[in-house]
Parts: sequence; structure tokens; C-alpha cells
Amino acid sequence: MTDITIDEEIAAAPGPATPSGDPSGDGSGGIDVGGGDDGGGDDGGETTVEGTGRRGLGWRQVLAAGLVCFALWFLLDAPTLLRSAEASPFGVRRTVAVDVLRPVASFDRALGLSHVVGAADRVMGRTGMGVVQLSRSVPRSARHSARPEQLAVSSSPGGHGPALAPDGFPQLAQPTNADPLHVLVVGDSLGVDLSSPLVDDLVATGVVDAAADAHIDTGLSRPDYFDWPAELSNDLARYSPQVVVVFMGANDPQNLVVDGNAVSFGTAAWSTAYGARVSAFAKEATDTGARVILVGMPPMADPGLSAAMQVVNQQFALAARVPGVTYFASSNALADPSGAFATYLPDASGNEIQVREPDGTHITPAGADRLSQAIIGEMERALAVHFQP
Amino acid sequence: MLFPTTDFAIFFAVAFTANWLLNPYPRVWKLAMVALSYFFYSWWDWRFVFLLAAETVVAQAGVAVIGRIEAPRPRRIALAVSLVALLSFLLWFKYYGFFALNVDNALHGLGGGRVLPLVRVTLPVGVSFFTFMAISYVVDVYRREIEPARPVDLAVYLSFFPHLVAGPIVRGQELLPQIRRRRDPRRIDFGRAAWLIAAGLFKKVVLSSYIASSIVDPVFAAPRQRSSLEILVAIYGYAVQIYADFSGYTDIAIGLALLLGFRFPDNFDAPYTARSLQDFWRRWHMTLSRWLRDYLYIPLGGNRGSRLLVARNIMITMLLGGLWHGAAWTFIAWGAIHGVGQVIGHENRQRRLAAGLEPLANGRGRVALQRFLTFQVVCLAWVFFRADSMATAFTLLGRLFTDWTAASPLVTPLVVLAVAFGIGVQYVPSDAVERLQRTFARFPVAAQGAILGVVLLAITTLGPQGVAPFIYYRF
Repeated sequence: MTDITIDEEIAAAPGPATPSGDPSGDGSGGIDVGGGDDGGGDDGGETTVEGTGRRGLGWRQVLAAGLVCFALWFLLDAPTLLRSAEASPFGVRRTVAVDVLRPVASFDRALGLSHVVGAADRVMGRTGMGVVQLSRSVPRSARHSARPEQLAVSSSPGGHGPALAPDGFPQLAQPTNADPLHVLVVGDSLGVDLSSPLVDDLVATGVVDAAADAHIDTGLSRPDYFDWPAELSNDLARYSPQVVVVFMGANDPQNLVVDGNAVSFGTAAWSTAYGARVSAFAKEATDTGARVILVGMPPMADPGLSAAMQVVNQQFALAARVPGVTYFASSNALADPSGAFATYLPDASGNEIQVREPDGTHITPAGADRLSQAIIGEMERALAVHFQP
Repeated sequence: MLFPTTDFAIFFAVAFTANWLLNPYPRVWKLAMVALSYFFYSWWDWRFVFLLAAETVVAQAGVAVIGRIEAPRPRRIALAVSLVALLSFLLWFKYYGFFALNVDNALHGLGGGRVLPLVRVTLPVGVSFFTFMAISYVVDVYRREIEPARPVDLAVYLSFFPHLVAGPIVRGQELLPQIRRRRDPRRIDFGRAAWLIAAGLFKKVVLSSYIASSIVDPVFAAPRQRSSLEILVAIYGYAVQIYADFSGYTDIAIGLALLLGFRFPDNFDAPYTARSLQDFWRRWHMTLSRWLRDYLYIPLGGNRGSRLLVARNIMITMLLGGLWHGAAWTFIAWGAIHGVGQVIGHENRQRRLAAGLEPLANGRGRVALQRFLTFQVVCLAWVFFRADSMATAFTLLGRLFTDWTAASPLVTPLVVLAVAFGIGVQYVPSDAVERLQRTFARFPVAAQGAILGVVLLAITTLGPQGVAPFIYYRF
């Protein structure tokens, strides 16, 4: 969009733009091989790239330089590569990669190179691949403890102990701006999609202090890759939440390793082992007095993945049979009336909104808003509290 | 497959070797390049290759017909049919959902029923890029600027993997002659290629990823929780993030092409040193900018006609340029801001010309002010480009002025340094970079490899775990 005349524009426009690094400007790449030696290898003297004055290399020299580069990088970055290999799905490829990388990684650790990676992570404030949100509404020092003995107690008729909320835990006092409810949201990449809108909506009520900790490519199936129980333990100590919303499972339909043995996904043994992990994860939170809302995975566009999510959701639902743990099916907000996958769903005014990304798995911001409101509604029901002003 | 992955490194090692081994055999080389490029594209989704093949066939059929017609009117009709056919791919895959959703909701709002089915359409990676390349090829043949290419040459041109999924948008007249020639295997510009690839990886893997995760993503995801300072730094941060991400990608693409003996046009030229929006578009995504100029703005009339017509041409070009980036009102708003800004700039220049005024003096203070103001307008537009909705964009802008006293935990010294670095690096003189490349190129081959190995280690150490896709893959 220039101010020159149309004739000048046309005169300027059609000519080829000067390709990068080619001051000759003829746009041809500046190289014309008219036969002769195409087999590589220079002619003994230094060759220069036409029109640049820079020394050129033969293709075999470039290949050699590349091999030196990657060999050196492989040797020095083996611990990181080993971690990536260990995170990959179980199988021959993983086994070979780990077997090759493990001795090299040990050598690197002996040289102290792994400390460099750790130091870089600390400098850049990286604790993983997570998204951590903090609400600013209440300073940490004023955080309300989630211990059961500090929960509101109201006498039931006949004085037989505290009243219970629908989730089976003692009834909470109605949260206020001065004494907000503390909520933690954890999850995988779908948790990343959900966490910001949910935290935002919760804080906007004025009676909730919320934080989120979501990590892509994670779940409960591979603690060797990302240890969610340990991460949750840190989060519980740090945020002292009264409610933990869990939204993960999309990466969990894969083989488990239990006591050194592989357990195939889709088997009864897998369901038992995975179910135990979900229950233990929830118990970690309820042992601190926090209640847990386990949000099931929504239906997926891919029928196979959707069926796999049903298996995962079943274990989440079973884990909610104890006091303090509630299961909420996200299909209530992200499926069509028949419970099937839907890219578009109507909003409150009847307009269609896109709730799922084109990949058929992740959730759009509009979909996350919709799910967030549904989860808040469930939270109000399960805890018998009221958030809306 | 993404550039900064070991999968791609292995693929490229094979492609590089095949490229030079087959270089003396042009026909075999071309078929091998097409096969490698289609394999590269199928890595995302094997179904995408049918789209790429279909567009190649449509483009070739179009120029075959155009090339046989001499009469102007039938020639124009043949061109129109070709363009409609090519654009129909883009319209379906990229815009049908947006169009249907808005039409249906508008009719619903008026009390009518829904007329268009809402279907889930997978968006093929890079469809905007290779569709625009196909269009430029057909139009250039129509304008008689190039001859129709052989089918296999066209197949290589459109599918060539370094530029396939996120540009640069290379013209037929730039790349087809290079495809027809054999490249010199003795004079590979490794110094420049290595610099471009290393710098591109650093920008994408380290700088862009860090700024995104540290401040941009948290702020844009939940602006109501953020202070005004955090919002301001996030907006500037996004300017750096998208520059680093996109220019990093195209640097890598240009560097890879150099290793294969090809020269691509540059795509960025220190865009945040621009002194006006017009200047910005001479520096930002230059291959898109010239495409819009040559295939949209000038055919609309360009600078010819009344002030109103010129303003119309500018607005149409920029609105469609915005829409090219994505099917959402936020991208249209982004284009509108640039359009309005350019119309205002054009009007000011015309008024000065009409009044016979001398051009404004290029004093340091004036230049700095122009750069500062242009950068603010560009960043304002970026707010809409990045926000997931118009509501989020306005919330962000609103909170920019309302909460300066709140704590800003996301604004750390390292975040500020990263943003400042991303802007400041654009002021590094190009001859300094050129000297660095020359010096590097003089080292022994093994030393060059070793230096690159250490640089690669630094990049992977400083970068996050996992690889985020390039922003412009979505387009």
C-alpha cells in the first residue's frame, strides 16, 4: 500500500523480490551449474557463495557439520532426551531409546551438565509445563484453613453433630468477600482450556479465591513422566484449598506400569489399577479437609477416543462414592442432548456457539465458559453454598 | 511435523542427502522432492495431501486453459473460474463454520430459522499459504509474467516443504526458475543458513515460548485478575512473542531452503522500527503484504481514483488481510485498525502534498516519536489479534487504565528483559549480523558443527519442555 502511482506500482510489482542474501537481485538464486562436477567436494580452493562474499561449503561438508552438531548436542543433552523418551508410550521404540540414552545421560550427570538444565529452569521460573494462576483477592497470610474443625457447625435437630452438605462433608459457612472460599483447579491440557475461565468466573463472584495448576500432556497414568500426586501435595500445602476441581484424563488411556508389570489399557486390571490411582488422588485432598469435584472428560469427535474417555470417566465416577468427592459429567455442558460430541451448542439466548476446537478434542474459550458455569452450579449444589451476588 | 523436533531433524537429514545426491538428475530430483514434501505434509493428517494435490491440479488446469486462450474476455473468464475454484477450498475449510454460525445466529435473532448446517470442518495446516501461492501463480500466468510450468515443476513449487505450512509466500517467478536449474553443490551458503536456523530456533523455542507462558497467556486468559501494569507488559510481550514466533519460523524456513540450494525472499525487516503503518507493512510479513498489494490492492484500483476510492481499497485490502489470518471478528478488527490507520496516514500525506509542504524533517526526536507512536498502534491492534473474543479484548483495554496500584507478580525482571530484548534486537545493524555470518563461515567445518551443537544445546536448555506449534500454523 504505497503512495506511488499505479504505473510505478505495476512497474515495481511484477519483478521478483530480491531473494534473501542475494544482492545481485536477479532473483534466480544466483547459481547456475552448467554441468561438470555435481558430485560434491570442493575444488581445493575456498569457494564463495555468489554475490555474498561468504565462504560456501560443499554439501558433504554441510552434512559433516550437521552430524558433528547433532552428535555433540546428543551427547550433552542426553538427560533431557532421556526424559522425553521415558515419557513416550510404552513399546519397542521407547525401550530402545531409553536403553541408548540412559548410559549417555549418566555420563552427562557425572559431568554435572544436568545441573545446568536445572539452573536454567530455576532462573526462568519453570516448574513444569503448567499454567499457574493466582487470584489476588486475598493475601496468602489471611488464607482460611481448610481444616474440618474450622468449618461452620450448625446443630441439627436433637444435637447429633454437624449438618452435612450434599457431598457428604460437613456443611460450609456461606463464603463472603471477607472470608472467601478457596478453590484449586488442576488438570491436563483440557484443564488448561478450563482453568482460566473457571478461575476468572469464580473470582468474579467476589466470594471465591481461586488458583489453577494445569499441565499439558499429563495425567494419572504416567507418574514417571509427571507426578500428579506429588504436584497436588505441593499445591495443597501452598494454597490450602477447600475445594479441588480435577479435570484430567485425556492422556490416560494408555498402558500402566504396576509393580514393574505392564497393564494394558482396556482390561479389568487396568480399570482396577487406574481406579485406585484416582481414589488415592482424591483422598490426598480430602485428607486435608478439602472436597473434590472430579469432572469427567467430554465426548470426543474421534469415536475411539470417546470410548476410551468413557472408561476413564467410569473410574472417576466410582471414586466419587466417598464423602467429600463429587463426580460431575462435563457432557452436561459439552454434549448434545443425546450425550454425543457436538462442535456447536446453543447458548442461553439460543445462539449457536462453537464449544470445541477443530481438533475435536480441546475446548474453545466459549466452551470453557459454558463448562465453567456448569461446574460452578455443581459446586453450589454439592457444597450447599451460594456464590452469585 | 514441527521444525524444532528430532522427527524433523531426521527427516531433513534424509531430504538434504537425497536433494544433493539426486541434484544431477532433475526429473528424479523433482519427483523425490514432491514425495518428500507430501510425506512431510501427511505427518499432520494424511487426508491433507488430497487437498494439496487438488489445488495443484486445479491451478495447473487453470493455467492450461488460460495459456491456450488469446481473446481477453474468455481469458478473464478462465481466470475467474480458476480463482473461484482455488478460493472455494479456502472458503470451505477456513470460513464456512464462521460464515454459517454468524448467518444462522443473525437469522435466529430476527426470528427466522437456521438455514446452514453447522458442521465440524478440520482446518488443514498451511491452507492459506499454499492457496495464496497457487492464486499468485495462476494470476502471473494470466498477466503473462511467467509461462505455465510443467505439472511436476508446479507440484514442487506448491508443496516444497520448507515453505509449505507457514510461508514465506514465494512467487512462481522466484521459485520456478530455481526449480528448473540445478543448484551448485559446492557453494552452499552454510554461514547464513546456520545463522538463520539458530536465530530462528532461539526466537521461537526460547524467547516466544518464555514470554507466552510467563505473561501473555495468563493475562489474556484472565484479564480481570491482572493489574494494569501486567496487562501493559503482556500487550508489549505479545508483540514480541508473535514477532519472535513467526519470524523465527520463516528464518528457519529460509535457512533450510538455503541448505537445499534455494533462496527464499525475506519476510521481516525489523518491523518494530517502522515509522508509520505503511512502513510497518513494508517490514512485517513482507511476502503477504506484497501479495495483498499485487493481487488485491492494485486490481481494486490501488492509489487511482478519488480519496474515497483509495480509502475503500485500503480498507478492503486490510480487512481481507485480517480475515486471512482467521475466521473471527477479532481478526477483522485487527485488520480494521490497520486499515483505518493507513487511510489516516495516506490522507495526511496527500494533504501535505496538496498544500505543497516540504516533507517533515527526519530529526532524531521526530523519528523516535514516529516509531513510538506506530508501535503503540500496532500493539493496540495486536490486542484484538490475540484475544479470544471481542469482549476479552475490550476487557483488557479497559483494565489497562483502572488498576495501576495492584500487585503485578507476573512482571518480573526477566520478563521485562525478554520483552525489551525482543524489541531492542530489531535495532541491531544488519551489517553486524553479516560480519558475524562471514566470521562463522571461515571456521573449519568441524568447528562450525561444534559451535552449532553448543548453540543447539543452549536453545534446548533454555527452552521449555515440549514443543508449542508455531502461531502461524493456524493460518
